[in-house]
Amino acid sequence: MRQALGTWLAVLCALVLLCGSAFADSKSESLKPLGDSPPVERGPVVPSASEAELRKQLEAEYRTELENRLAQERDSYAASLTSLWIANGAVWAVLLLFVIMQALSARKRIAELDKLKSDRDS
Amino acid sequence: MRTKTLITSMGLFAMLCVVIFGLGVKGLALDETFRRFVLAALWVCTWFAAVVGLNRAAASDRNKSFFSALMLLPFDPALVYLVRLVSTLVWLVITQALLVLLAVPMLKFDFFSQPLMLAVALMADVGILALGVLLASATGRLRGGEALLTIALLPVTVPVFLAATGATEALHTGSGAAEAWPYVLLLGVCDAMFLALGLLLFGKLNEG
Amino acid sequence: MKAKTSNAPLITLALAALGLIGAEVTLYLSYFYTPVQISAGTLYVVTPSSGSTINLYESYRIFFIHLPAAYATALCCTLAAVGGIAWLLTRKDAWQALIVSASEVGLATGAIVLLTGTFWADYAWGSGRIGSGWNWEPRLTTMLILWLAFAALLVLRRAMDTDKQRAMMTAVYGILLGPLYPLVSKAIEIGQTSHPKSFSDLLSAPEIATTKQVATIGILLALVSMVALRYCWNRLGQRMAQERAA
Repeated sequence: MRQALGTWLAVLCALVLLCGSAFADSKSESLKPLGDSPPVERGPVVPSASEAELRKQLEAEYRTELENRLAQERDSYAASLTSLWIANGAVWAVLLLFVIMQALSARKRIAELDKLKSDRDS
Repeated sequence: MRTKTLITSMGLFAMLCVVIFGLGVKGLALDETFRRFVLAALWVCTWFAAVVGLNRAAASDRNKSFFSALMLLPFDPALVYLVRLVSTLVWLVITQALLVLLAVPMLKFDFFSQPLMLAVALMADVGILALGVLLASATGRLRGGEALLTIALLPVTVPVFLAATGATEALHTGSGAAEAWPYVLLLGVCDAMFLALGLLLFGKLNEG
Repeated sequence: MKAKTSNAPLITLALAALGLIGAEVTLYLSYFYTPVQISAGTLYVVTPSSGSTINLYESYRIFFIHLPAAYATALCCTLAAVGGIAWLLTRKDAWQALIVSASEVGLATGAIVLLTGTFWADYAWGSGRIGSGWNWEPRLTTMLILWLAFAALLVLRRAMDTDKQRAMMTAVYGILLGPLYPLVSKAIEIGQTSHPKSFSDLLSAPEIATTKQVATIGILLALVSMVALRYCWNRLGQRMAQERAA
């Protein structure tokens, strides 16, 4: 009975902690999408510039914007990533605990079974 | 005498379902939402009526040790299962009919505008009871078996309910019979499968 | 005979340990190897049945737990049904232990699927419906039913009077679990669903595809080894009961 209670408790803990890990990735902590902000005025495209140069320039602009955005994004869930790690570590520990408990209990049952068998034989 | 009591109790059960539901929604306007609520109530009441019917049959078996006597007789268990199924089905269909007859005037229930609903209701009843009779034969013998039957029956009969409510929705939201056919087909498949399972397993579950 | 009883738990323990390591590798990969989702458009976006594209942002990382747990639940359902049929045919106690173990583990993995699924659906698609959080998505709803059925099996089993009745009921209810599996798997095709029909958009990124494979092997191994562990444990219990009766 106590064994069963312990098992269920472990399962319950695992579930609660799993809830934690799911909650950690909360919407409020993540960066919102950029949305449809009006395009930035860049002035008229100078026709004299060669197309390759223009492409290069736009590419560079895009890269810096992307890096910027990525950095923001990383910052925005640094905290939730930490809590996710804690929660997942805890889930893992509970699972490990469950496995160890099962192993110990199985060993006890094997010993008991052997004793029952030897009792019957003698 | 027994039949008279039975009809009275069925009528009261149906009346009670309608009245309680009506009390719960009495402030609502008679709009689309309300109509959908009434249809949902029909399925809820049907399900509980089925459970009540199954438990009632099990209780009378227990009191008269009728069931164990029946299983001792050299009948095929499948035959016992079918007889039990038909008798419970009659009970459920009558209760359902009373329910609908009361709900049509009292809850402005437009059941008869869609003739296919009759087939859907009957098929849903068969599906629920096919498994219900099977499970009730085991839970009926237990103390507290009534509650157990509820727990055991709900998850396994959900396919029937998905199909029945799906068909109801399709029929009553104006999309018509064409949309409802896949659900009716699903109901038919569920009925066939559950009946087959019931016929095969009833004897096993009650052997010895 | 004796060697068999003492070795099986050791093997399952080793499997469980391997699975746990696999699970942890999966978690590491899913946080540090798979890329951060950048923008709506082409990358890491799932197209639900409505046809609109939705940015999953960070939430897609839940996928690596959700999917193996769903596989494990499906496997548990199948094992219970197969165990039920096999028991009725052979009447060997081992099948009973299999049904019970599969239901116990199915209850746990089903809970994981339900929780991760609910949070994921709420995050990605949930807002603006009744019961934000639980949005009556067909796949999730049918999964809840399957979960209830696992619970019902274990409750029913306990309630039975005699050993014979218990075994019968377990086998019969195990078989009744069988039809729920196609229901869950077909649920995304009936009615309105926000569950993606395929994850090919998500898996087009090689990092995500690799992590998914590791997750499927690692976490699935961890969860399946739980079935094996419970099976050993239940089997030992049966043997003890037999010895006591003898």
